[in-house]
Amino acid sequence: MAFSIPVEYFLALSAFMFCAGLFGVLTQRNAVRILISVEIMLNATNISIMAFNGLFGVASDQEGWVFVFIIIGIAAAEAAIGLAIFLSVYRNFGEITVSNIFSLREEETS
Amino acid sequence: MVSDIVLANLAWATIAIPFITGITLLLMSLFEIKGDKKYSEKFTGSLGVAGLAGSWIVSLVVLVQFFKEKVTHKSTIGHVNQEFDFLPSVSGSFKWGILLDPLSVVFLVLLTTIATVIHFYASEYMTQDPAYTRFFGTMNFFTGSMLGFVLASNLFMAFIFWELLGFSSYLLIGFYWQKRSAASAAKKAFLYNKIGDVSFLIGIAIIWNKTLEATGSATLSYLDLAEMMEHGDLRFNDFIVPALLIFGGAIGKSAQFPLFGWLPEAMEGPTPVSALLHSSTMVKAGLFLIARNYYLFYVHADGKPIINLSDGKLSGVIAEFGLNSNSFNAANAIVWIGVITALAGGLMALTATDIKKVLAFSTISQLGYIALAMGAGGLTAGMFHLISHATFKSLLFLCAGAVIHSVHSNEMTKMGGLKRYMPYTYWTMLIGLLGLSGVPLMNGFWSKDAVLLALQNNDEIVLGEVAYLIAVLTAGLTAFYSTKLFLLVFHGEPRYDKDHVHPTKTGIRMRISLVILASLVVIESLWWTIGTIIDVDGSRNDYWNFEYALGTLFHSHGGEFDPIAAIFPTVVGLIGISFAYAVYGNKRLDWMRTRPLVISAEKVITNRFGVDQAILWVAEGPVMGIGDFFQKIDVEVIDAFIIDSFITNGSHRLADMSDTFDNEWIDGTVDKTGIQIRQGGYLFRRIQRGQTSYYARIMTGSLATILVVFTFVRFV
Repeated sequence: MAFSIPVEYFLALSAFMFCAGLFGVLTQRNAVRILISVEIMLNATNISIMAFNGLFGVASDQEGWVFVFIIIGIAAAEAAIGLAIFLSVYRNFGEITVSNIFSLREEETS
Repeated sequence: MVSDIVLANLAWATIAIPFITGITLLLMSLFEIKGDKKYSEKFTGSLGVAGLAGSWIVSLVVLVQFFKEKVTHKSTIGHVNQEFDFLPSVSGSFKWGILLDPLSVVFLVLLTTIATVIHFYASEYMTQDPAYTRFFGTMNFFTGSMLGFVLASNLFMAFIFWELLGFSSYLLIGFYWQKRSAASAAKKAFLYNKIGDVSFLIGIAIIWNKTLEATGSATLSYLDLAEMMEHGDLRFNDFIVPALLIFGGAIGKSAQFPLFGWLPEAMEGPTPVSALLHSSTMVKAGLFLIARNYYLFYVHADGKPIINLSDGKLSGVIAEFGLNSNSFNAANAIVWIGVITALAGGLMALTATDIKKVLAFSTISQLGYIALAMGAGGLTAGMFHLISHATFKSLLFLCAGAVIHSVHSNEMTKMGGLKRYMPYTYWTMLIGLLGLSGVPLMNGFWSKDAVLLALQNNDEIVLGEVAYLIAVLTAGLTAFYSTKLFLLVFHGEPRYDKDHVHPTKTGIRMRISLVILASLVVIESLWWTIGTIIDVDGSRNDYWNFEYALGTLFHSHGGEFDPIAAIFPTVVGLIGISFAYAVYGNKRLDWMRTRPLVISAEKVITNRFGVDQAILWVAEGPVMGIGDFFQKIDVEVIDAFIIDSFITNGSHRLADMSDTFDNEWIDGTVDKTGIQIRQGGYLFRRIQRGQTSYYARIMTGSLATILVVFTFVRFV
């Protein structure tokens, strides 16, 4: 390849996306936003896997794809299940703000 | 053959038996008081008498065996000395042991014999007394103490029993403690004795110190001390002060001038107690102490101490006495104190009207006699008179007890004409009084003669002739008051209250006791008379001559009866008797009473020459002054300053301080720890709020930290 982007760029992007996703997971209270952040983190992982695939791939340059496909598959399944749970939660509580949903927890005393 | 150990063990038994029965009886009397019951008098009385009788039998065995084993005819006199450490120490141990030599064995038998008879007498005399058990318990204890004192082998053990003697005599004199006079008499006796005890104790301490200095190993054993004296380890002249201090102990116990005031008061006890106290225990203890430590007071001319050492050859009569030639010595002091005591006692006996007090003053007088004999170098004469006095004085007291039992009064002015009611008492008392007055051929005659002879033979005594004359005069006084007592009690018109008092015959057991003691007096008189007058082997130095035998046994002199020297005192005594008969026998009682000289003299004598007053004055001024002074110090310094300001305030402040410390530091620490922990709990519980994002944050942070740490560790 005459023209190629250095692998550090991919990794930097991947790290940025992962941190952004992590930040989202840690700070957001809306369940949908958290789900989106998780998707971002998964995709950050995909990017870094693909970058390493290009760097270390030996036979067909396609071994890393397997992981990526599996992750995409899992992410899809997760999103489907997650959204279904959110729906169910919304029906029961009328909202999906995670910090307000604590009926399994005792009342705070102080 | 009986070994020394068996003899010593028998001697221990004589001490132990009365102690065991005495303590048993005292415990029984305790149970009586606590349990509010009464043991039968038959039982307790027999136990009390049996204790003494057992001791008496054993002591007879000791006597016979001792003389069989240790006193072989005209060769040597041995001794048994069994000692073991009581309080071991490097510089010399306090020992506990038995010393059997002729002196202690003879005294032992004398004591047990008389005490047994007195106990037997008391078993009837004390009937119906609510404290019958206690009486016999104390009596046995008392006699046991005296036995321990007599058989002790050293000054330490002797002092312990000496103190036990003082204590139990206190109990006996104060036997009727409900009576105020008895309680105060007991107190007085105890305090007077205590003065002597202190002197005795100081004497012992000095002897201990001197032996420690001389040999490097202190000892208090009689035999050791005597041996050291003999071998020159201790110098006789160094022992004047301890000798005087030990004699001070004897002054207290033996009621010598000026501490005789307690003896007449001691009559507050029951009569058997007086008999025991006056005959062979207590007052004789002091004199026995002098006899026992005679090596401190006299040495033989050849420097040998007067005590039986194992190799003491019987060397015939030892007539030469080397007195300590210092101008002032212990012997002179003893002689003169004895003379003063004898005269004062005789004079006081003249004026006393209480029958027991007459006998008590007579005892004081006779004790003075014995003391002066011992002071004059007549150990034998002193012991001789001690033996005869013990016999007839116990008899006289028992007779007086019988009389008192019968008339219920002590006053001779309320007696009279009792001869027809109590013939036994009459005759036995006659025998006793004949002995006391020194009528020729009676036991008192021979012993009194020995005493006077010892005084006459000693040229070293200061004003020895005056002392001799006073002693003879006292013999006359003795005869006078003896006759007076006899006539007032048994003859003349009855003066008791005829409506209320009906004199009764003396009881059977009391009569038996009186007869036994009277026959003892008669036996002594016969033995001594025959032994002295009849020469068996021509040299007058045979063992039938009691005084000579005693002198030989005690390694002292004796047996030199001089008929010509005996005439003067005998005549004086007979004059005393006839004079008394002339005054009291012919109802001329008032003739004496009306002479002004007699009246004023009587006043002086009745007040005991002011000696008691002087002692009171001497004791009261300084003692009360010291007491007031200390009370002042107590109130004003100790109470006010130290106690109030210092201790009270100080402890108050200390209490406050510790209260504060308790509240603020101890409680505060505990409280604050709790509060802090709770605060910490509040702090940490926020983490576990149940919010997933928090957990996630923490997990992320932790993971990141770990990654960072590991990364840097990897690279650093």
